[in-house]
Amino acid sequence: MRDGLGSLVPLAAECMFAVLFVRAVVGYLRRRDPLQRDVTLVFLPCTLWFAFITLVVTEVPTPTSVTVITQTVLFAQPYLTVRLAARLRAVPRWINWSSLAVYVGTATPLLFGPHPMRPEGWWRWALAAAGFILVEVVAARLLLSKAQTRTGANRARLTTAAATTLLFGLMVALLAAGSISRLPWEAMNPQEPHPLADNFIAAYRVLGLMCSIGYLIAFAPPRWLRRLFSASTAQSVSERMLRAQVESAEEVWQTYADIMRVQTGADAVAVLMPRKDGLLAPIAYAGPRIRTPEELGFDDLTQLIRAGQPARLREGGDALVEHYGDDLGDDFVTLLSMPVPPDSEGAVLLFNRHRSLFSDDDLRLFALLGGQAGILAERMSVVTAQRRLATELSSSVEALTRASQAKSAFLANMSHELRTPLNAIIGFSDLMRQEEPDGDRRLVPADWVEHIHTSGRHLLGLINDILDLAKVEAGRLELRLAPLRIDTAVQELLTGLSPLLITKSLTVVTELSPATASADRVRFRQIVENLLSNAIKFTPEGGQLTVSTVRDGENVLVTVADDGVGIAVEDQERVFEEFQQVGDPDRQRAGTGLGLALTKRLVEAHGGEIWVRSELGYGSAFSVRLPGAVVVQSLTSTSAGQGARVLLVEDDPQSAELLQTQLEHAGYQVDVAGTGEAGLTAAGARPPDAIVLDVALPGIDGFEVIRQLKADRRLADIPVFFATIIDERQAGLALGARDYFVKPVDQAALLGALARSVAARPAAPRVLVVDHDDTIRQAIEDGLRAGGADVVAVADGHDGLAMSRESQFDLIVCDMQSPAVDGFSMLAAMEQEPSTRRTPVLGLASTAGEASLVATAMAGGIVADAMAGGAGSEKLAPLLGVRGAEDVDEKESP
Amino acid sequence: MTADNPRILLVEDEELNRTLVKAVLARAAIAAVRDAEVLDASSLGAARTQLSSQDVDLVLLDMNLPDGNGLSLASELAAGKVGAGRRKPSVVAVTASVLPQDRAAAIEAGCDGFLDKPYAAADLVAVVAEHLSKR
Repeated sequence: MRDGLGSLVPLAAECMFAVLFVRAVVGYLRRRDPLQRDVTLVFLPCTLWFAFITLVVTEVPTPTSVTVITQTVLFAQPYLTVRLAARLRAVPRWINWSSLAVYVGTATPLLFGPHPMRPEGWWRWALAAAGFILVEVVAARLLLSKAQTRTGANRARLTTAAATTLLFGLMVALLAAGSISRLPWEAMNPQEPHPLADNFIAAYRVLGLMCSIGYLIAFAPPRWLRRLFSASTAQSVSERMLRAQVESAEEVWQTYADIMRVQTGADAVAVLMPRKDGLLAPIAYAGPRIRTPEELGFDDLTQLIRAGQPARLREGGDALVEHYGDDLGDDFVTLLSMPVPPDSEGAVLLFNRHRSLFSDDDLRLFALLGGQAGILAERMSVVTAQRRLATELSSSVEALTRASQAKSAFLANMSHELRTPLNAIIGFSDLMRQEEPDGDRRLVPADWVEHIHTSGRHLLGLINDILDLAKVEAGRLELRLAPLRIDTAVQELLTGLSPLLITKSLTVVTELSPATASADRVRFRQIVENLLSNAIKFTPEGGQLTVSTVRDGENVLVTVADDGVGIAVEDQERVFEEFQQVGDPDRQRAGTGLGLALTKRLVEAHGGEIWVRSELGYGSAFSVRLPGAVVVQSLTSTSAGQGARVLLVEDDPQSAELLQTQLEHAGYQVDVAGTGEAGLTAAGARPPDAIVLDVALPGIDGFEVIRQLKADRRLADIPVFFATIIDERQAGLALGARDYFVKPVDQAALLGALARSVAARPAAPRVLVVDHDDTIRQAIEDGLRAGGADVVAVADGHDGLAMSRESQFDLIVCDMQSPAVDGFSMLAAMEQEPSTRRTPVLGLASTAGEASLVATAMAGGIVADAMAGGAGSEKLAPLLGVRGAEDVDEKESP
Repeated sequence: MTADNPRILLVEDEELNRTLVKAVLARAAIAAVRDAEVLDASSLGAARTQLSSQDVDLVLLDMNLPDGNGLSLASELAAGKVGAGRRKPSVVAVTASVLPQDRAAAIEAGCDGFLDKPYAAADLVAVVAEHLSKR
């Protein structure tokens, strides 16, 4: 009876192992999966051993060779388990080799020892068992540590596998203990069985049965058990999906990928969804940081799906290798199709360096759960879109409300601002009406008229600002962008504002480096004028303004700084808003309250920006950045100077540089002398076409320089212009200066005056001589030629008239009594011609031949003298007499 | 001008408007108005000083003042915080802020009258005369 039961247990274990083994073999043969092969190899020793036991129990005679082979295979089991663990997780290579070495080293004495074993050979059993247990413990540890990194069914299965492995080790320990204790007894009592033998045998047989069940659960669970596992995992996946706090569709997919990674124990998970063009594109990825691909080739994926089992990543197709290969090179890749309701189909890519215990069926179930994620994602994206729409709506409602409020505030302010000057206009004019009439007039205080006028101007300024503002707002502001020298424009503005500056005794420091903006001249002036008048307004008497222009990369920068009251930080943005008047309570009337708002818009219309830096009590600095312009030498300005030479006598290098730049820009060649003496020397060495002269100079001053110039016959005719800080205009003009400019110099005025005097310098006067007398004609011609004139001589009035129509002459010398067409008829005809009407004519009357000759000679001589004087149409002018006198007068007046 | 002449305090930051008011009042046909002594203040602070140092019959009060809104002075006067122990003056808001809400705010603050800018000379005289006659 005891024997019957005892043999039943190993039989059951054997059946179990046999079934496991056969299933594993079949599974491996079907799929050639390396994991399946290793599972098969673990089951093989167990199956063989229990087959052997069954034979022993049923007292079938077993030859020694069978025993040896069975034992050989049995003792390999721990090593094979380590190999299986290495399939499921990373196992250092040395552990693998050591396990093999321990197996060979410890089992060999037993396997190749004498059979049957003698009592003194007990150590062979002990050694083999110790080796077996050692490796088995290592394998169990490997499986257990893997189990701890997993959750759910996977963890349970790996833990079971680890425990079963330990049990198997214990079983072998009992087997060894049984064999060792039996040896001496059997040696002494060959016929009598060991009293404890049955107990050992029963114990290890039961352990064997338990092991078979454990391995069954761990590595080859029956279908119903697997379903249970995957159902619980699926439920956990679903729960985690639903519990996850997600805001958008992307997050849903990301959560799904994360959960899939944890549940399947994959190294990486990529979720792919079809794009509009049908190609699958990654929508979520969980795993080590890698480059995620834009898209994946469809062919590669189809192939993978068809394969239906993990493939080496390197064999997974070009796209996969290209995108994931670098980072996940050694992995297996599994592609699972993921139908997403209602009608799309995505895919889940699982990357595994080591194999998961989940069967492909289980994985497919998880992929199906992805469909749920799809529904969730769909819902989430709808919700997100709704939320976004709601946010947009509410923000546009807010913006509209703000705009409407701003409009109302603007109108209220506008009404207020318009009423203020109107009050003075209506009030004072009302008062005027009440004054006593004096006939059809009224005698009113002059102040009142002034008040009305000032208020009217203020009102007009306000209206203009509003119109400009409205134009900018409506985008109807037309800018005539052209290269504009902002340094000179600013200088001009400062000159224009100088009365205001003087009234408040403000000092202006200018740092005007040449800079050219692409700007509308009128609008630019408006911008800077606003800033300057603000600065003047908010700077107390005796304060200082600093105005600078500078190139700033591709832009230009204008800065107007004052040392006035300053603007508090919290007000600095508001100053650019309409009707915001901030700052000092004791301020003067702060203009229309639109100036800076308009300025900001004008700057922005230029594509520039404006900002303020300020500190209360330390002044403000407004800066404007405008796009720069490529500096092209303007044709018109170049032609103004025509390359004429200007000598600039100026000791201050900065002023000299500014003036030099301005003049050169206008087309002049400029020589600079730093002292009066140097100026005189330079002028003497090479007389310039004009001289620009400072008064305050080291050594002799400007007045002495002009005195010496005028005293030198050769230099006396060179036009001299003063450009100085010293306001002694009368003295300068009295000394013979052509004009007098007080710094800051109005650039346009100086250039205009220079241009006029340079243009007045005749290149070579063209003279038409008409005289029928060859001798006289020749004499006049020679005289004029000697004076440097370009002479055309004709014999009669007819030709003269034709010639005068053909080209322009500076002077016509004409015999009044020419026989063919006389001088008078010719003059009458010329009078009719617009081109010749204003040409001066010198008429020669030869009542007596000699007198005419004298007159002619005189005329030629004087002309020649004038020419020799070098330039100076002035001297020529009185001679030219008769007509064009008004031109001459203009030029003559100082 | 006798000691009995009414006293008007003009609180107005714009000099032009101060000149105008004074010119209008000085030329008024009504003797009480014409003879009134016109003090002026260009800020709330100056107005408070004036009000605490002497009796004033009428305050012509601008709203947009450099150191605050004129209505705050009206409230202070109504609450007796300014010019304590002095005769309580009538307060007329003279302002270019003419929207209904501005008027409501002025009345709320305790102004006795309201004169919109721009005003005709006759309107100013009439308002001043009306309030002076109440004293």
